[in-house]
Amino acid sequence: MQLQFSPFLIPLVLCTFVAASLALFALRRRTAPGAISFAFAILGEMAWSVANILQWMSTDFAGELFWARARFLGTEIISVCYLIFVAQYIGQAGWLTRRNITLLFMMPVISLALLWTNDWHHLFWTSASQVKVGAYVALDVHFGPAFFVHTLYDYALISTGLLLLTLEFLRSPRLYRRQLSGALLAASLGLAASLLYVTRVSPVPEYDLTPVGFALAGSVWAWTFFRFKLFDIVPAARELVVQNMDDALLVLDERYRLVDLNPSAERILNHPAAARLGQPLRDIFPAWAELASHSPNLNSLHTAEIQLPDSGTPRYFDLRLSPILDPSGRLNGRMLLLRDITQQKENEIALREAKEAAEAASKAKGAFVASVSHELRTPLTSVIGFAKLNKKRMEDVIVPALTTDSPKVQRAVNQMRENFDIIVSEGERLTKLINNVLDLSKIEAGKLDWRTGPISVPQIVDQAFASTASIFLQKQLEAIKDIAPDLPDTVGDQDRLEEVVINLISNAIKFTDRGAITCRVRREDNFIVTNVIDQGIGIAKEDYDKVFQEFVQVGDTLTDKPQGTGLGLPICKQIVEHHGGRIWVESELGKGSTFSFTLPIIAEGNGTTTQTTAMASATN
Amino acid sequence: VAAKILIVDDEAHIRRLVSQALEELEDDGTEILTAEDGAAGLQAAKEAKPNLMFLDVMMPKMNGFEVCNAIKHELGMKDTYIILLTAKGQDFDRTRGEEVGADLYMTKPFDPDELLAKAREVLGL
Repeated sequence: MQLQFSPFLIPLVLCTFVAASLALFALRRRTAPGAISFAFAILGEMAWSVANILQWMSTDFAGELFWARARFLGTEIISVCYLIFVAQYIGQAGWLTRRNITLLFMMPVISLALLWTNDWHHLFWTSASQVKVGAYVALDVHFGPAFFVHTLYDYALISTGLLLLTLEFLRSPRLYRRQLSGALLAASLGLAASLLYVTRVSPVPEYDLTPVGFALAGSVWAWTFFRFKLFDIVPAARELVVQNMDDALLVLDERYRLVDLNPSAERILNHPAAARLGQPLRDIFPAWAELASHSPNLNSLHTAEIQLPDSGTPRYFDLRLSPILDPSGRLNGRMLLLRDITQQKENEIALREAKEAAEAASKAKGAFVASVSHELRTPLTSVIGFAKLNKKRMEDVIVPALTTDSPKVQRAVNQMRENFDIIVSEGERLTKLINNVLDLSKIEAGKLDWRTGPISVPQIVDQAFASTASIFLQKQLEAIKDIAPDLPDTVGDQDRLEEVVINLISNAIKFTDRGAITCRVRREDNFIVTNVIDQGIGIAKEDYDKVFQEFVQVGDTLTDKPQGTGLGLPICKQIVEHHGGRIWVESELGKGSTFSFTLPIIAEGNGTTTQTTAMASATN
Repeated sequence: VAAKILIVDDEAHIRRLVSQALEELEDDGTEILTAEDGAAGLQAAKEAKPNLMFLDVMMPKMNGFEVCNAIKHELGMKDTYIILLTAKGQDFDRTRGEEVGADLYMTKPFDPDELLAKAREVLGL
């Protein structure tokens, strides 16, 4: 078989490539409405072009005839799929049931049947012969009645598509008009090329220009796709989004007259759209006048929270006004978006009220604690003061004056001496409790005065050992200091950190009967770690956290004779955490406990310097 | 000339406690006076011109700050050493104390022996 290569092939080959890439493009976006049918239409175009190429390459009559017939397979697919695509693209595909689609394909099937049986009845082509076009062999056919019926049917389908697109074009917002005009132009090109062939007014009547027309059409479509993202925002989707969204959308013209609104907006304004269109916004939306007066420049995006009376209960809306500009930046109108934020607002209010109530309660508690502590101090002054004075008077005045050796009197004197001491020490314990409660309540309320300055942990440990020297002596325990050299200074409240170390050492002494208490200070990364290690009774693992809780003393309170306030460790925890450190305990029952805390190393100058005051305090 | 100490507190027990704590100074001829509210305290201070005053802060009529301010600034009695007694603990308003010219403050409950030692120091006994 001999093949010929004519210049007529060039447009057809180009068509094929354009169609292939378009089909790929559409298939990749197959979830978009219409993309599948568009791809089929384009594949039909491609089949048509390929058949056309093969027809023009063939030189023998039978081959030409065969490919000329094959071409029509593509033609039929194009027109039907094109109509389906348009309907889906503009969101009017409701009538495209399986039955209707089958009906649409009926005529093409009949046409194809007639074409392939043409030799028997010549209804499609009345004659077919080989002619010479320049140096090339071409197929010349004369159209029969079946061909014209087939062509009219195709034109009807394509015209229906054009009509649908035109209608959509007329009722679409400006944004989509360019897309639609692209699609319209494309369809018209295909139709025009086809008319040239059918009416045989073309310079080469044997050469069917329709595929070229559709290739041009496809290119215009491609341009539309890339330029306007045909399948990314299809009008159908836009329509659905706007109609179904919860937010109210109002479109205004440049003079603030209502042009369009969605169902949510109708609900909020409590009026059907038709009754309100064309009216100035201030008439339908009373809050508008006030808003407009607050905002001189309404051309830029404007947001506000407004309250609309809605059958008595006010509802809150987040309002956004944005200009709608045409591509040249000219103001076309405005878009007003109202989002119902009533629930959010109510939650906010409830939350704020709860917070205020909690703050008030906390404040009341703080005030109560403060006032109770003040009221307790005065009687405690008498209790402790008189007990001390009585003991002193007894020792200084009464005991020397006693002349009797009666053991009963001696015993009474000893008992009184000890009883006075008990009154004093219990009174002091109460004082400490009051101080602790007050401290804790203030730390929790964030109201404690912190006196922050440069501190040296080894110095703090020295001070704490000095303050606890007498109780070490009482219990005959050894005090061991194990402090790493060259520890950097950091920043903190000297007095309160000393309180922490004293507290840990006192606790260690309290629960240790023999051995040593070690205070070790080390640097670990950016922290100074202080350990207070005892050889006392220890703490069970499940109680590790409890010891840092308020008013909890671990162990059997009857046999262990609690001597503290139950607030020492909770306060230590608060103080350490205020400094950005951590406090914890590790222990083994019967072997001893290690209480540790960390302090971050902060360069000097980052903290505020210690306040100094000229007036001295004589309290301990 | 015998030294004079003035104790101003609306609580009788506290006046009694402070008096008893300082009792032995009377052996050296020191005179101990008391007043039961701020106004009476100011009057007594004006008349007796004490060397040392123990002044409660929370009192009816005139509080300790006001009395202290009147004595130090209005009467110009800079030589009277004034110790404020406060039940406020750490809440004590130091700035206010400084402003009114107090020399020292002591937090309740205080130690009678410490009171006595401070008095001896101030009076040079």
